[in-house]
Amino acid sequence: MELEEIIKGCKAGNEKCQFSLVQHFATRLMAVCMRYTHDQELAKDALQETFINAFKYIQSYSGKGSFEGWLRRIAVNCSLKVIKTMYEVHTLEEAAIDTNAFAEVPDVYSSMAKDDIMELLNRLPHSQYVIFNLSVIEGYHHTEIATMLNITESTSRATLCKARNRLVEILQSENYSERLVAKVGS
Amino acid sequence: MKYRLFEQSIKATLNNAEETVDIGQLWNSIQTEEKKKKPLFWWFFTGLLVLATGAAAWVYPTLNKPQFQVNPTSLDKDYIQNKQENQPTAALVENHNNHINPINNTTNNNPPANTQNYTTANFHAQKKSLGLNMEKANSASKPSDAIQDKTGAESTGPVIAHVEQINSTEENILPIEIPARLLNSAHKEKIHRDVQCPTFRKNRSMKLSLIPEIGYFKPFKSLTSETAVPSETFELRKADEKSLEGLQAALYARLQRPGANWGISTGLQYTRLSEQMNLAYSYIRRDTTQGIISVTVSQTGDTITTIYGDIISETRVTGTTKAHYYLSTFDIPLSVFFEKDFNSFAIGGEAGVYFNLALASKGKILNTANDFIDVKSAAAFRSSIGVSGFAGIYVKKPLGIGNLMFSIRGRYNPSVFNTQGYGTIQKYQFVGAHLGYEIRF
Repeated sequence: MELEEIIKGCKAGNEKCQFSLVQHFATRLMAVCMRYTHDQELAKDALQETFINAFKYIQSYSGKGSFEGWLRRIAVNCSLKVIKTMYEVHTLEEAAIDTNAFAEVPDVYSSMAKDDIMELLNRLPHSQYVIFNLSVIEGYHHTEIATMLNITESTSRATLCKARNRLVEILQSENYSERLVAKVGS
Repeated sequence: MKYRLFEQSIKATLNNAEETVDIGQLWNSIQTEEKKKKPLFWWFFTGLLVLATGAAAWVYPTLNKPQFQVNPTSLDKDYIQNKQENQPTAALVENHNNHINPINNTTNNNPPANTQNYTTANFHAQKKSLGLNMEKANSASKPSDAIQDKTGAESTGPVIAHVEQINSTEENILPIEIPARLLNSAHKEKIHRDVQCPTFRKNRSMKLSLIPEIGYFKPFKSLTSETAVPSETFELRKADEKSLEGLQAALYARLQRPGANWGISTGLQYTRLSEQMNLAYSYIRRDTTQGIISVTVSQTGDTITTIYGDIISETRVTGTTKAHYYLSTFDIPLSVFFEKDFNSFAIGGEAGVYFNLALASKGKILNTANDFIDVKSAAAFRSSIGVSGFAGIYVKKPLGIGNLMFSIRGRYNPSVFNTQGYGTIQKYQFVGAHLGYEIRF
């Protein structure tokens, strides 16, 4: 079944199409939910909520833009809702300068596996991790992130800078790159 | 490699990442969750149906109320008597001297005071409802031209008006025909000013009242563990979680037979209660960072060895904190009540069912011995209680300002607020003070 057909069916409340939609996107959205919740059960809850909301509000999807992007946004919001109260993004008003955009990092990092990336990102404090994901991986603007997390734009920017600084620091440390090389080698 | 490129590469990897998920299980859980939400509509529909039935019980007697029509035309006494004799239905004309200021008591040409039509069957009942004292009326000056009606009842007072039934299809339309000579403008004015119309309202089989009410109550919580060995969190909650104030707003509709001590009551009720937890916490926070853990300088001083590694620091965090959560319920109570009136106050009892439309929870609840969690994330409370029984007693006192009532009420409610499997069984009983205004129809 084509995606357009599935969407049309879902708008009409067709259960078969709804099931096809779940089949089509579940694994990818589960990866998104896992990335934010770090927990299989919480991710499942967020994923379930994602599909329930998608079916409920599918009429509002106008057809403009990527449908997967629309679903991913719901998944991110549901995941954030699940974890919101467990962690708080602390307000950071102090300025942080993004000096690491052009920093050099070892080439070994150019082809990291998903699990290695996750292991690396998990070294970030949670607030930095969430904002890094929202900004770099999902591509949201700071305005959107600020609304999603109920923080100021400057806090979002400062937290992202801190996350990048921390990542560059980790990536440049010989210890980490050696460990990664050893892992790839084995 | 530039750091920017690194970001682009991890973005591509993560965006295409997939995680295994049991589609069948996921689909079942979505279906179950959606089905759970549907009964809310049915509870709401049931509530509306109950209210509509109550409203219909009130409207029905009103629709059957007799309609009367006054038709002042020229007519003399002979005509009245002739008509009276030819009428298929009995008619009675009465003059209630206690209701009027007669213009001229010495003649029989007094203007009409009150006129009333009675059918044979309901004559005595109507007389009673109008509060007429026929004996008293008879003791007054008896007119020479009193009309004998077909029921055998004799009318009193001067005959000045005639009440007739127009036809059999319009049983309740009664034109009153008044002699034209009596209806000069001065008399007309006097009649209109002085006549006090009797109540033609038919006795209702039920009486309806609406009671908007607000209340403040003390919730009495009972917290028991679902498991044989209570958890540490449960013990902490039981010891330190306090029920604060409860607020209630409701609109009740009561249906009662006139003169009866009992009736049925229904309505819409919003209840909100607050819980507060004071927590003294103590835990060890472990931070891991990377850095230089050792620097060794060789004996000759020409080699410096620096070892990087994980630096783990532990901090004990202690303190006290306070958190609240709030529970709100939207119910349609349907109950039978019994009420004994002692003039200055009334004592009553009630028993029935709550149709819970929704149970909303908000705030933070104790999650572990050291931290709180959003009450929704914890899935601690049900989204709807469903149908549950309740019973209560109350003492009600009119405040003397319109129909404003003050009442003290206690209600027993056996329903469990928690979701099954959460680990605790949380119930509430309420005792509170309420202020309501009774609008009687």
